[in-house]
Amino acid sequence: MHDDATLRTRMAAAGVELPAELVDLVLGAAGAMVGALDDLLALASPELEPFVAARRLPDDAGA
Amino acid sequence: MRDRSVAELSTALARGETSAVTVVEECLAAIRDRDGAVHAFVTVTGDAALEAARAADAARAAGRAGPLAGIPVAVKDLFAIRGVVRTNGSAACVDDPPATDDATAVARLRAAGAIIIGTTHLHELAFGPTGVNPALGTPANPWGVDRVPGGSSSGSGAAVAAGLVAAALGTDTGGSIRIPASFCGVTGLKPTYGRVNRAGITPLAWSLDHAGPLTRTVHDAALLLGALAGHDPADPTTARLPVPDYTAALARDLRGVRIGVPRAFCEALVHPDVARAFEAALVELRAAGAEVSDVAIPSLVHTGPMLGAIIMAEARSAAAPLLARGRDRLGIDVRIYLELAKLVTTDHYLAAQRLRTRLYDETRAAFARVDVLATPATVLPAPRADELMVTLGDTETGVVEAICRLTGPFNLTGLPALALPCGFTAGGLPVGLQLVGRPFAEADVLAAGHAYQRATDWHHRRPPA
Repeated sequence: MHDDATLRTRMAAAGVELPAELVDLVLGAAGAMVGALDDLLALASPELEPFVAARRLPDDAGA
Repeated sequence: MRDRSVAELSTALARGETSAVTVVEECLAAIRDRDGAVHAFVTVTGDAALEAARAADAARAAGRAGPLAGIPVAVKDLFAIRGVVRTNGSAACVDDPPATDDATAVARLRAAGAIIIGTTHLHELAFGPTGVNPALGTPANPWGVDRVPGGSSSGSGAAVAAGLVAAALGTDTGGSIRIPASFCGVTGLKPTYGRVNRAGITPLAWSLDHAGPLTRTVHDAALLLGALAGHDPADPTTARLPVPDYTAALARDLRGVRIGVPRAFCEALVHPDVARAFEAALVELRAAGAEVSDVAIPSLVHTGPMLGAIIMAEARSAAAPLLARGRDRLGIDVRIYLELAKLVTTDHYLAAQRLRTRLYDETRAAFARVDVLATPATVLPAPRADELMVTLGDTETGVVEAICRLTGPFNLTGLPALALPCGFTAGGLPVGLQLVGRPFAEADVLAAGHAYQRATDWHHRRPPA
């Protein structure tokens, strides 16, 4: 979770454009989302290969 | 027509008890009389459907009837249908020219003799699980007029539940076939990633998108999958694997079938009425001969962020052409999602794709011990349209994340997943059961689901007229 000022800075840096009247409303949800996304970075070991369904699933069919 | 399944209609047609023209006329009459209240359809292709019905009757008379000959099917307005404008549920697309070709899934249904009756509403761009669409219209949930139908294949779910058609096509990126099936009390099948081709379907998130049927019964889902499945060069992600006879698999029973329940994840956040119906479904499955045990899939707890990162990043890319030409005509919720998607970095996206591998490996390990997984299809019954947050147990969570909690994992893993009715809440809203199989083992989940429907009558219940 991020404080509002940090989040506003991060949104501006990413080029997020929201109607002014919705910024405060969206901020809470965006903060939770960004916090959850950042948590993924710590969870995903670089040794794990990104998932490719079209390769893994046929390989495992009938297994 | 209202209470007849695809299988029943097919039998009546084969015996000459009715004709395709009569079936289509009855279907069009039902839509004309009742879709004003249901609001499932965007476009009804009545003239083309009647022409196709006459051709189907002629083909049957000549001994050339396909397996779905004369069966009306509705199609989510995300699939291309020759001669029909594809709105994608968005005001930004309503002035687009009609499609010049069918999506391959539509073409396969036609080749099997099915008759395309029209297109159905959806959550705008398929980007949301409620089905609420202020611009083009939100279908009613036939079980509760103050409840959402579920999305994004909202019109397909509502049309089948209301008895306007016996079958419809949907797409599923985070649960968009299974969620409306669960909320509307019908059956929905998301096949394995690569089993049903997606050529001619507007993408939302390429690595998660699936297409499949919504029907009243598992038997009907098997009939439609038989027509839809198979490799197609137009979609290189389709697998070059043989397509089994799905209806033949329905003869199996549940004796000795091992069913695993990821109980810790299922019980952590669930509406009490859903939990009760799910436990009762497990009792039924045991009574039919299945062996039910618990399994652990620890990475399920990361489903929400994984799904969010991938859908948002891929959807922003998929919607780029639309953003360039019609941004101002997109609904506000979709515009907000697509703006917030800018916060998803390459590192986030790749972390989510890496964690997908872990989730898949854990799920695969669970399948070493069981044949099928079972969960509720959704952790809650259909919410009201104005509900943005929901409290389940001691936890308050966003409605969107709650709705996708149990469906999303099987978009991430690509495994086949079937939603089917398994009861009702105290307030009379449907509850869905989800059965999940190994890669390309749709026959296993269809067989288990059909055995469950042989033992229960939830799929025969109908909403108030």
